[in-house]
Amino acid sequence: GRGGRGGGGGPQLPQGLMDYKFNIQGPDFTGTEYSQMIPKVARVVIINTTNSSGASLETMAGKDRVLITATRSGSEVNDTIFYDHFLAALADAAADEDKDKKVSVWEAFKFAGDSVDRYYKEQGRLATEHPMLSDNGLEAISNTAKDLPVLARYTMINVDRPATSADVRMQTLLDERREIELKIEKLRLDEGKLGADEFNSQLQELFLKLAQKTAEIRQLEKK
Amino acid sequence: MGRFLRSWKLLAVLVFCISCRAGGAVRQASVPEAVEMVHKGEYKDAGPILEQAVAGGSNDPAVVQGLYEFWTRQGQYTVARDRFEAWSKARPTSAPIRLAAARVNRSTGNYAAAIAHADAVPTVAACANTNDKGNMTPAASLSVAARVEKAHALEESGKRGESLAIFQTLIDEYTNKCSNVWTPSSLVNVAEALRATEDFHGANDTLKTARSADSQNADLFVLWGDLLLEKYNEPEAIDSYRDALNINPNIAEAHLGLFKALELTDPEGAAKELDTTFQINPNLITAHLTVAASRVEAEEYDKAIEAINEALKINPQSTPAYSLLAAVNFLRGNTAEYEKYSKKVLEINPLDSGLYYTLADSAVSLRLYKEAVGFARQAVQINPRDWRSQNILGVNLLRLGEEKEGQEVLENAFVGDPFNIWTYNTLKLLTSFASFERLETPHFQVKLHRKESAALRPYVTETLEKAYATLTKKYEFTPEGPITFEMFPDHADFAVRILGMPGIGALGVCFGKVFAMDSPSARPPNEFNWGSTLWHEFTHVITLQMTDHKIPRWFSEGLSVSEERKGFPGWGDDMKAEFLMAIKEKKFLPIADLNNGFIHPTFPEQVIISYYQASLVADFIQDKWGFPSIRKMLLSYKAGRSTSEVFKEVLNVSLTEFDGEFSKWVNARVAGIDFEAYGKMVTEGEEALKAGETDKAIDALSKAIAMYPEQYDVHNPYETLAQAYLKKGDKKSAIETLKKLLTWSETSFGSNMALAKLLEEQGDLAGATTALEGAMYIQPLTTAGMDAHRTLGALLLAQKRFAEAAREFETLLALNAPDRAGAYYNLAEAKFGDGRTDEARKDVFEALKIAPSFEPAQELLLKLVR
Repeated sequence: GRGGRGGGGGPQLPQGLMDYKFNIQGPDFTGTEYSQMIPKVARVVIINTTNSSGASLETMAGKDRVLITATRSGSEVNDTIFYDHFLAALADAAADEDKDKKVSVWEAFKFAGDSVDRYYKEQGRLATEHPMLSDNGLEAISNTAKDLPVLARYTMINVDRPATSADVRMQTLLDERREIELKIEKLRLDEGKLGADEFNSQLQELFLKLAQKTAEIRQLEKK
Repeated sequence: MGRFLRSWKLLAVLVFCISCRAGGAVRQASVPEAVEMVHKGEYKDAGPILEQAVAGGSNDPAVVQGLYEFWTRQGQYTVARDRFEAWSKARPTSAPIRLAAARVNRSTGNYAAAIAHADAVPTVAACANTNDKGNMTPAASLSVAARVEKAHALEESGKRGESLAIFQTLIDEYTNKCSNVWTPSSLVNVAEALRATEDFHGANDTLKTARSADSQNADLFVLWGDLLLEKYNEPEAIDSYRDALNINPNIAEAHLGLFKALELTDPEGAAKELDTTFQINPNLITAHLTVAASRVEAEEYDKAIEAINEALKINPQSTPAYSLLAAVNFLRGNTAEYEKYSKKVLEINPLDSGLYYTLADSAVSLRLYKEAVGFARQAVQINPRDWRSQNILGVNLLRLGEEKEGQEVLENAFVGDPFNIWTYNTLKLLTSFASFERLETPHFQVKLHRKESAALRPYVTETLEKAYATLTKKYEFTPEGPITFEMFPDHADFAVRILGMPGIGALGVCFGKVFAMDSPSARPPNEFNWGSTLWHEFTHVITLQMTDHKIPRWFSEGLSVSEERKGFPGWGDDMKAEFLMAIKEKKFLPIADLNNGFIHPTFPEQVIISYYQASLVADFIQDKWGFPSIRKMLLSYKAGRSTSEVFKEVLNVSLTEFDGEFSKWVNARVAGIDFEAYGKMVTEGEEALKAGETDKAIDALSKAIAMYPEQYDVHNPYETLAQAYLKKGDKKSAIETLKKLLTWSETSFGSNMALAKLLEEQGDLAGATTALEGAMYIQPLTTAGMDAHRTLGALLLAQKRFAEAAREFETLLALNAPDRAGAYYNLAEAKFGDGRTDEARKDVFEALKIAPSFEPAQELLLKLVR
């Protein structure tokens, strides 16, 4: 099927906006209808890469959901290439931006979005698609956003299992490392409350501790 | 009764005509019919009738004007002047005759006589005299025309103040009092006055009014075409000239206008118009001067002088003709003659800034930008309202790197002439410089667009300095600085930098101290090598400055292409099929005409063929006489020698002898190439490979390459042959094949990448590095280019070439390539290896900010803090 801007529009849409429709045999479902069909579970990732998929941002985004669309609105009606690049992200180690050996939804989206941008630039063509991501029902952002989306960033496409060990000494070291990693995350969240110098100083200190802890783990592994 | 009478009259005319034909004679047209014939361009039989009428005493303005047009439209100025002079003496009070005498005397340079005749036409206030229909009387109309004629003659003889006063009086009469009574021809005169006083919109509006009153006035449309052409509106100027020619197809001025308007967009059509111009009026001064200016541009000075002399035969006081003579002599280094003719112009018209405009314009065509600025300054000094000289001054100041003053001058020029698209475009470009990063290297001031400067900066600055070091040493010449280099990601902006107009095909340009070019983003991938273009343009810096810009275009281009070939393997055009065919079809030009291949090409590919030919000439000279002879030639050009003198003095051959020897040398290079057989071998090889007959493919393709190794362009056999070798598992031969290709080709990005991979697999890291460096000059900014940067960085790190490796990772970061943490980490590794520990710590910190659990970066951090 192909995506498209539907006529009419559901009652919950702001006046003047048309609902997204996915063209299938028989009556097309609207974005509102799809949204209602998706079960309410802890976390849902919707990847809608049809043309005009941006129209679904209005109706399919929501709490505990990450919604990725290939276009920023229903007006971008040309065929899209975003999906190919999104798939490539899942297979390319370069997409794993933070080198944690897992590709998050955000990383895959950013990798694919950047690739789409480059594609149109190199072809010398006006970009006819602008991928968007709506995180936890918040306003949709593009792949160049500076404030990273929390849900998308911590939702992994690969299976995300914490590192564990039967060796008590090793488990202690792993726990200590995890603790440092959490401190780094917390510090990042507090970045705005600290001055730049203070933030960087604390971060460097934590990085050093993290590096030392990793070295200890690797040392123990060798034994 | 009435009906009967009409029939009878018709019968009588019919009988009369039949009897005429029966007698073998043709009825002579009446005088009004002869006037009409002249208006329609049917000159042949009209002249004698009109001459007889005027000689017989007719003072009818239409008849006199018709006779004047009959003579002058066909170039019979001397006859016209003699007759009207004689009649003026015999009938001094005949206003139409005195007006015609004034006009023809002005055309032939007798300004004092022209003014005297114009003064003899009684001045009649335009509004005071109207006929019973409320229109201006013939006497008033003649007075307007005579006053305009006098004003023109005064202007051309240096009395601008008096001239403008007359024009202004006429304009006041028209605008303030009685614009509704003016006859169509007088309205055309008013338009001339408005044009002369720079009220171009007013002139345009007045011509519209005149056309409403008389749509059959060909002169109106010619003037309108001239006005539109002067204000850079070629499309509408062309329409106007064609409107004029629909009324009278034999107006040389309209055909000349079409030539000028079409010259750039339709050279063939323009050439036909010029031919027609001379067929109608072989003495049209402006046409001869147009030809002369074109010959000056082509550096064919003898032909230019011939054309100028033709003009001077008609008007021995023509200041534009003497200005061109001054220009020719200036360009030839004949100082005394140049000064003589300059003096002559200023004696005739001390306020003629056109002299210095012509000198400046001619200097620009020979790339003498400093001299052009000097002349343009003199033009502006004589006439501060000479806006075209202001434009030439501003644009050439920019070419000399004087950006601030250039911009100020252009802003002033734009206020004076807001129609000038060159001024407008250049000012717009200058505004866009705010988006450029300015940086300095030891020998260059560099402007790179902010959106790509971070990615290009390391490569561009390195290549600039390499070119400087290599070529200054080779030519034993240090160019005067500061040398400015600009790179434009938008080709249209680059084109404006060159000519003030978008729409040119060049990749780069050099003004001596300023050189500019397209950036890789401005061109499709795999069609452009920015490194060879930069090298080419910097060679111009050397050769232009070394000769004080006196080097002919062909030699400068030839040396630049020749130096490209030596700059990096594969750079510079070689003998691809297009050039082979040009040689086989004898399309190369004699040296004496080679400049025309660049400036006045006669077929579309001639410019590019001329570049190639010129480069072969440079190679041939170096082969036969050695490189020192090139330096001697440059110094000889600097001393002002002509090409034939330079060849005689340095190489001891005449141009004809050189052409003969060069031709033998070139023909020997192509002697063994049978292009048809070559094509068959390539096709046979490709088909064999497809059919799985690898050995057969290798045999055919190898033979094709042996016959014609320089065919590196599209459909070359090298890449197919490499594939065939790889199919057989013969990597060594595949490598050799790709290496050979890359000694000829500068745009085979894919082959550079493939070769690098094969060499890396073979452990030849240095070879792989060179192949990737070649790729960087082709696609440094694309996704494929990012892969090349990444691999090259890793190879350089492995070879402990840390500084160069750092360049690659910095470029990756500037390109916002995926895996930024990896790039920061590698950059930190490279800087650590290069001894830049503090910088390395910052970079590893950046890597960890993105990827805290990135273990290699953690390990490096520990190393760095120890």
